[in-house]
Amino acid sequence: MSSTSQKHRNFVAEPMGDKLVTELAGIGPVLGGRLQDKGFDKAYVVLGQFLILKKDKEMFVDWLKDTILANSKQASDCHQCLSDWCDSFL
Amino acid sequence: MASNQLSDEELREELSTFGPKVGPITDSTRDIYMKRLHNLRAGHLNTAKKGQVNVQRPSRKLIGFSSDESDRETATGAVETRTRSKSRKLGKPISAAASVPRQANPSTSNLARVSIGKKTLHDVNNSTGSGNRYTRSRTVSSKTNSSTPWQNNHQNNTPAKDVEFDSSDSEGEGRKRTPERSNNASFSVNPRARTTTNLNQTFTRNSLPTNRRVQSELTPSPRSSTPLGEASSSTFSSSGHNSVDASPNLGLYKRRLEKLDAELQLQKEFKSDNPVQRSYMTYMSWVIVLLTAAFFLLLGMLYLSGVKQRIVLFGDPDTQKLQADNLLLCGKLSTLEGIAYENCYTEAEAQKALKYVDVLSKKLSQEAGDYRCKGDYTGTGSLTKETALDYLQDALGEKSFLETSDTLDIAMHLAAVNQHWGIRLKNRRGAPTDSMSSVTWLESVYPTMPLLCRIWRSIQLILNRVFLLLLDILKTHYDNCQTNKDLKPYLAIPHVRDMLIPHNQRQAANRVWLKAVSFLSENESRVRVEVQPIAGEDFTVWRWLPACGNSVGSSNSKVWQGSAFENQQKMVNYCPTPCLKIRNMFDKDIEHGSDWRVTVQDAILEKCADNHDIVHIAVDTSSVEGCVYMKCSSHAAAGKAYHALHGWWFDGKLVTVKYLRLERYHERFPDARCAVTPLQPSNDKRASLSVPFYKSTLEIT
Repeated sequence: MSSTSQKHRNFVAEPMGDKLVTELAGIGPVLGGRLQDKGFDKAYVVLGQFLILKKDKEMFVDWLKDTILANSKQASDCHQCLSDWCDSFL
Repeated sequence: MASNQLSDEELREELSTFGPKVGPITDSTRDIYMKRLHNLRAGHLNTAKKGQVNVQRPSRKLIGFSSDESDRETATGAVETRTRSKSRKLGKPISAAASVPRQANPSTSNLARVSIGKKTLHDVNNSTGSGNRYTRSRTVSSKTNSSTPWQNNHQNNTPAKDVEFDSSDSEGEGRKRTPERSNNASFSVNPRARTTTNLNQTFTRNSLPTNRRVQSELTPSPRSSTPLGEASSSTFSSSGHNSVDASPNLGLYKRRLEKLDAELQLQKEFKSDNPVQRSYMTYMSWVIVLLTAAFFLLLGMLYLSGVKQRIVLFGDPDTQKLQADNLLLCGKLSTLEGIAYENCYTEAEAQKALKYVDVLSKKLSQEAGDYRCKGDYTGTGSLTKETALDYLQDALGEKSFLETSDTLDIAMHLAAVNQHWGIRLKNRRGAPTDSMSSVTWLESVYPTMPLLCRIWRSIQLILNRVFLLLLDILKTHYDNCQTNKDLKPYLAIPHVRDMLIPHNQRQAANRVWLKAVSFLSENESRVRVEVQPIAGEDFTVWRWLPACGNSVGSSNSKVWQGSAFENQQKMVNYCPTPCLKIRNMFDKDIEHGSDWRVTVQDAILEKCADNHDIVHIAVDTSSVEGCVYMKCSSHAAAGKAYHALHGWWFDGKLVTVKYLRLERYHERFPDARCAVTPLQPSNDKRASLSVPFYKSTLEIT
């Protein structure tokens, strides 16, 4: 049974284009703001980071936690979202 | 940044030694990889604590430095921070400068040692979080070891700024390596380190208030309690410079640690309690079960003992019993019951007789019980007078036969009078008697049957009742069938069960039901077990066989009872041959009477009455399937006969027809070759069509 959120499904449904980071699953306004402060203003930048970390879940989650103080669920949701997107479009 | 590049490569090397794939090390990933290296080194200890450490990160991260300022808990203490800060501040030049002295510096070995120590410290700290640095005493010794060379080193260093710088840089470089891999916990050190501008004295740095706060003294003594501010300049070795940022953060950590510890403690206690509780609970449940079992056992024993007591009571020669037992004592003539006695016995005799009665009653009860319960008991459940005499002599050791005989007479007389003893005197024919002379049998009314015996007897009683009910049901159903020919004359076993046992009792009576079924199929000859299709599904059914098949009603069993196929007339078959083999017309095992063959033939002919082309019919009496062979004069006639016969119920059997090859038919029945005259039924009664049937099931309603 798929336990993905609506946000996840929306993001994975189409190429991300110029979507903002807040459209990533698990990233809300607060976390999105923090990401933007760090310079990750668009979803593709986070995608870049995700790819740099070789799509490794642990690494990416750690990075998210370290960078923007996401909790485990948010980070893993974001990772799952990006991973699914890559499966479809990459 | 050159320093970062070097650290990149080193980081990559270090990481690759652990096996996992190493991605690009960029600004954003360096921290992660350093942390990962730390974890890999520390054996992935307690990654949960990392989260705590990460909380400190933000302030550090905001600085934006990718180089890891993580826990410099090495013994270097303030020097490290200074060097680190310095290196950070200077950036590339430092790295360049550091690289040179690193190679040239003979203290690299020390550095290595120190770095190792630091690494362990780092690992320790990183794994457990900064808060735990206080509690880890493992690496204290290593720290001290490492610190001393460092100290020596340090002291060896000229106080010159540059040299210090270099050496410290180099050392810091080494240290930086390890801290890079450790947590980035010391980012907050930066601001404070920056504020410390005096780099001249390493020792005094410790005394700096700001540094003091930054450094956490890792004393050999329990670190858990060392407060932040204790900067011991002298205890350089022990000062494990934990890059704890701010006192509030440290306090937070400590509190969190304490909470965790408390939780662990609680969990441990809980676990230790749990088995106790769990065992207690299971123990309680077992106790309850045992109590109920014991209670019921007690009840059973009471019941049994009570039954026994009754028998014992009668033989008990208590004085109080004497009130109930009429011993015909001479002293109490006719006062007890107002009856004149022929004899009266002395008390001694009475007592003896009583003893006899006691023994006798027991024996007689035993006999009666055995007679009823034991399957192969050959006795009759009662003792003759002679056997009773012999038994009494053996049991009581009486020497004199005459005496025993007399006493036995007395006992019997008393027994006759005292009916409640339960000993019945019977004469030769088995009827109860009162006169002493004709007593031949003694029987006890209270047979001692073991409990099992009683249970078995009750079950048998129930089963017998069930069988009777079953038979009744079958009979009624058969009667119904006689009147209503549409019902098949058999009954599915489940239907019978449903009719017999109401719904709520079905589960409980299942065992009894199964026994009844098996009994019926084995023992009851009037009911036959078959497999018949009902509404398309095969059921094991019981068929009630009429006991007398030779009655007038025998012919009514051989009737055409309806068609199984609808719209048969519509089917136009191609008839390949003029010969038919008709199956299931009869059952050769149960056919009785001398002319059933003719009956069958007539039935077929009557069924095909409009078909005047049947020239030969042969009933194969030896066939198991009840086959009848038929030859028609033409193919079309055979087709008509086929329609008239195939799929029709006859005598409760579904008749099937198939075509035969003419040659085979002629081989089998040579006289059919020349048969040309159409056959007619032997009589005009049309017996097989006497009962109205329906051409199709649609007409039933």
